[in-house]
Amino acid sequence: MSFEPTLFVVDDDEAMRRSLKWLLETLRLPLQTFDSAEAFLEGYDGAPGVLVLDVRMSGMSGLALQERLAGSAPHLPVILLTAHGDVPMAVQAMHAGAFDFVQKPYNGQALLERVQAALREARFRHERQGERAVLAGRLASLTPREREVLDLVASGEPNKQIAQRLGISLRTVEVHRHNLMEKLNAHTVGEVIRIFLSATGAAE
Amino acid sequence: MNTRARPLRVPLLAGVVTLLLTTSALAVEVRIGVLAYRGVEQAVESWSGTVDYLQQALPGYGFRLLPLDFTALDAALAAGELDFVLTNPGNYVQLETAHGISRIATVESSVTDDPRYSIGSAIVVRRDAALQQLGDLRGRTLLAVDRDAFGGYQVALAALQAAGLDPLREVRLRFVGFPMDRVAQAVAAGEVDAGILRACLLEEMVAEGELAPGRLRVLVPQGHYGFRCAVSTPLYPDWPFAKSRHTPRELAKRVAQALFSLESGHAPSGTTYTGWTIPVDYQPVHELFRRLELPPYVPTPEATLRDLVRNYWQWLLGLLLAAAWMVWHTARVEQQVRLRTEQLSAANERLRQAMQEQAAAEEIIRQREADLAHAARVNTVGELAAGMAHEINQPLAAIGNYAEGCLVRLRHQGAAPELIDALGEIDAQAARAGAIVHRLRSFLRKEEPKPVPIDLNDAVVEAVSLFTPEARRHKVVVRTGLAASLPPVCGELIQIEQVVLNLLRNALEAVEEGRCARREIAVTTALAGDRVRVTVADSGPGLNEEARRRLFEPFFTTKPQGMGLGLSISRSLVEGHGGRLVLADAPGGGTALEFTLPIAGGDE
Repeated sequence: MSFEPTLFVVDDDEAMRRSLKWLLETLRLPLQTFDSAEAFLEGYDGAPGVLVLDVRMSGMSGLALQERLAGSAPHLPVILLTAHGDVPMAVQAMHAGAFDFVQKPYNGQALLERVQAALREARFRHERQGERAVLAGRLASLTPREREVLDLVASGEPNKQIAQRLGISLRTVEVHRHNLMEKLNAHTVGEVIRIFLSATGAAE
Repeated sequence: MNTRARPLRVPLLAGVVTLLLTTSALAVEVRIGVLAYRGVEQAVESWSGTVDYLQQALPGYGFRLLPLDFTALDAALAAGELDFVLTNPGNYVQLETAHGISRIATVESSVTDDPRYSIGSAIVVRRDAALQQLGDLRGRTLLAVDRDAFGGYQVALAALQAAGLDPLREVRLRFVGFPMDRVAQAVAAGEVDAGILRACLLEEMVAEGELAPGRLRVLVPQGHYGFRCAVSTPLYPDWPFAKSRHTPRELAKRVAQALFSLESGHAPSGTTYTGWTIPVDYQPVHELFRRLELPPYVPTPEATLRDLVRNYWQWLLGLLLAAAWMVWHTARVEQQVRLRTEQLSAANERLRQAMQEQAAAEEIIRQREADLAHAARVNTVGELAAGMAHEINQPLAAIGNYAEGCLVRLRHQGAAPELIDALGEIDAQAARAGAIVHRLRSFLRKEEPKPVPIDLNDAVVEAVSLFTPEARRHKVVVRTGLAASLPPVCGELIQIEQVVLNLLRNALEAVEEGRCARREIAVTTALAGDRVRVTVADSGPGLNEEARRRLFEPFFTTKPQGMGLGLSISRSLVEGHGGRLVLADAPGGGTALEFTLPIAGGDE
C-alpha cells in the first residue's frame, strides 16, 4: 500500500482558501480545497493526507468537523487555524485529537513546517495501518483450530496445557503450532506474540 | 291647764279656724301662719284678736290664721302657702335665712318698755336649793320644755355657755315638752335640780295661783331697765310679724300700717301683748344662734362629714368607685401607652433595619447591574475588537500565505535576491500588522476571567431576577425549570450571567417581534453527561433559514437597531469557558438557544 498523501484545506473565506492553496502547493502534493465543513464531509473519500482547517466558519465549525473526523478518519492529522486568544478552544481541539493548531496571523514558513510534520504523522499512521492490515490478513488465513492454539500460545500456555484444554494430543498441538508459525511468517514464539498483538490492535 | 296639755292637731282645727275668720268668700285670701308652740287653741286664743282687727281694717282681704308647729311652718313657707308669719325670734331668724321672710312689725308687750328687750329665760331652782351661780349647775339635772323653745331653752343655753359651762356635756339636760308649766312643777316637786322658764312665766303662774309664791327662785336674777320680770339671761326682741318673700308690697304695707295703729283693746285679755310697733333689729338673735351653733349657723365640720357620709353614701361610693376607676384607667392607659410606645419603637427599629437591608440589597443590585453593564461594555468592545481582528487577520494571513508561497517558489528558481528580500519584507510587515491587531485586542480584553467554581442555577436565578422587571414591562412571563442540583462549573459568574441575560433579551425581542398571544420565555437547566446545560426558549415566531445559519456571526442582526454582537459575544464568552452555545431544537415553535459548560474538575 503506497502512501500518496493529499493536502485538504477547509476555509469559508475564499481569499484565505486561495492563499493557502498558493502556499501549500509549494510542497508539491495533491491539494483539495473546500469552502465548508459540510462540503468536505461530502467530498472526502478517506484518502491519506493532512487537513488544514479553519476553526471559525459559519455553519459547522472547524472544531465540530475535527471532533467528527477523530472518530471516522483517525488516520487524518488535523491542523487547526485559530484566531489569537482562542487558547481554550485550541486546548479543547487538542484533547479531541487534533494534531496541532496554528494561531493567525502566522508566519508562512511556520505553517509549512507544521504541515510537513503532519505529513510525517500521516505517513506513520498510514504505515501502521498497512502493517496491521497485512498481519490481519495472515491471521485470517489460519484455520479455526490453529487460531484456538494461537490464542492459547499468546496467553503463555505451554503445549501440554493447550493439548489438555483443547482435548487433543500433544503431537497434534505441535503440528498446529508449526503450521500457524509458517502461515504467520514467524520464526520464534516471541515473533508470534508480537504479530498477534499488533494485528488485533491490542498493542496500541 | 287641760287645753295646754292637748297635743298639736293642726289639720283638724284648721277648717274651724278658717270658718271663724273668713267674712267674705270672694275676698282675696291672706294666710297668716303662726307658731303654735303651746298648742293650737292657745295660739288661736293669743292671736285671733289681731287677725280680727286686720279683717276689720282691711275688709278687701280674707285673713286666715294657720296655727302651725315648727316643722309645718317651715314646710308651708317652702310650699309658698303663707303670706305672713308670726313666730318667735329664734324661729324667725331661721326662717328669714331659709325662706327670705322679712319682719314688718314687732310685738309690744306689757312686760317691757322696749320691744328690743322683751324675751329672756329664768333658770329656776327651789327656794331652798344650794345653787347660787350658773356654774353650780355643773353635773346637775336641768329641765327644759323643748329644744326649739326660744325663751324656754335657747336663751338660757347661751347664758350657761357664757358662764363657762359646756351645758350639753356638763349639765344633765332633760326635756319635758309643752306646756312649759310642767318645768316649774317638776322643779317645785324636786324631780329635777333646776328648770328653764321663759321670762315672766313664773310670775304669771304665781299670779294665776298655779304655783305657790316663793316656792321657786330665779338663779342669778338680772335687773333690766324697763323689764318687769326676773330673768337669768340677757333679753332679746319680742315676736316679729313677718311677710313672706312673695307677699305683695302693697299688702305688706297696708297690713303693717294696720298693725301699727292697732289699739291695745284688741289684745286678748290675760296676755302681755299690747300691740305692734315698727320692727326691731333681730341681730342679737342671730348672734345668739351663732354662739349656740344652731341653724342656720350649724358649724360644718364634724356633723357635716358624718351627715355627708350618711346622706350621700351612694354618691360617695360612686365617687370613690369613679376615682378608683380613674386611677385604674389612668394606670391602664399609661401601661397601654408604654406598651404601644415600646411596640412602636420596636416596629420603628424593625422598619429602619428593613430599610437598611433594602438599601443594602438595592445597592447590591445596583452594583451587580453596574458590573454587568461594565462587563457588557468591555465585552462589546472586546467582541468588536475580536471581530475586527478576525476580519483583518484573514487578509493579513492571506498576504502572508502568498508572500511565503512566492518565496518558496523564487528560491527554487534561483531568483534575484532583492526580490526574495522584498517578499520577505512583505511577509514580515503582514506579520507586524497582525501583531498590532493582536496587541490592540489584548489591550481591550485585558480583563481575563477569574474562574471559580460556580453553580449555573445561581447564575440563572440571578439573571432572571435582574431580567424580571424588563419582562414584566413587556408582559412576558419567564418560567424557570431548574435542575434540583447541579455540579459546579468553572468560570466567572458575571460572564455567565451576562450570557443568560443576553439570551433572555434575545428571547424577549423574539417574543415582541412575534406579537403572539402566548408570551413566554422558559429557562431550564439540566445535567447532560459531563456538561451542564442551560436552555432559553421563547414563544416567538422562530428564525428563517438564513438567520439560523448566520445567527452567531458578528454584526449579523435581524433587528433594525441591533449591533449584531449579542449572540456573538455570548458565544465568545461561553467558548471562553470551554463551553458551546448553539441553536437547539424548539419543539413548541419559537427559538431555543442552549449552552453547555464542562463540569469543574472534569478531565480538563
